[in-house]
Amino acid sequence: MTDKHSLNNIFQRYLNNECSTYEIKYLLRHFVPGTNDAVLREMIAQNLSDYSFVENPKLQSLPVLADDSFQNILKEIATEDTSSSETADVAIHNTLFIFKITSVLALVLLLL
Amino acid sequence: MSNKYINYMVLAESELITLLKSDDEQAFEQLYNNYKVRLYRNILRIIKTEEQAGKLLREAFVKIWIDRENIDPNKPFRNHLFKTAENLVYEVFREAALNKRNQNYFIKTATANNVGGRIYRNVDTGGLFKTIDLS
Repeated sequence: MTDKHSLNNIFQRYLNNECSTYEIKYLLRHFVPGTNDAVLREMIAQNLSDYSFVENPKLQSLPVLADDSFQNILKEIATEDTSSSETADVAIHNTLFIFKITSVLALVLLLL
Repeated sequence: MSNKYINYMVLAESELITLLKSDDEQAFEQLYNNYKVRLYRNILRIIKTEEQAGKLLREAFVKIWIDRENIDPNKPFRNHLFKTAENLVYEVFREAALNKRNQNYFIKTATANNVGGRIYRNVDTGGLFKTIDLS
């Protein structure tokens, strides 16, 4: 297990674009499921919830954050809803099919 | 479902969550607007590419919508949102670690002088648009 301090150090260098290819490969090796999961997750969580930056209203105008970006989320949600209801329909259909087959088999066995 | 008589911008976060749980899309949009810049900016800092950061931001909110019934209005929404984003970001690193092709792409975008890093640094100094125009 690599110590937390050295992983943290290399992750900070990665965030600051100071890592070499070798160092990034070294960092990535620790993301193969293993003993460092908790440390890596903690580092990601800390940086995701970083509140230290100064708000910049210009960021709002980035295309990826423009007003229509929320519409893209709604489209994805609609797709998810449709596919999950289709999956549910298929599951119900399959259950009914198995029930019918079982009933027919039971009937045949009874007649025999 | 949304209510046109509600001013979502003035609602407390717990009220927005309660509305979200009753499928209110405008409450969902308000939560998205409240967090999108901060979350996008922090994902970008970690993931480095604008396209991927935008995708993860969308995925995080899609998951929030799908999981809306399990969100506790009495707990800070940001904890739930950041945990969702953390799982997505972790997955990107894990895929890069396990897949050679993803790894090469990851290394290419993560080495020095990439766009994500420059945007991040320039946001702090107010030079965002200059950087984007140049890239």
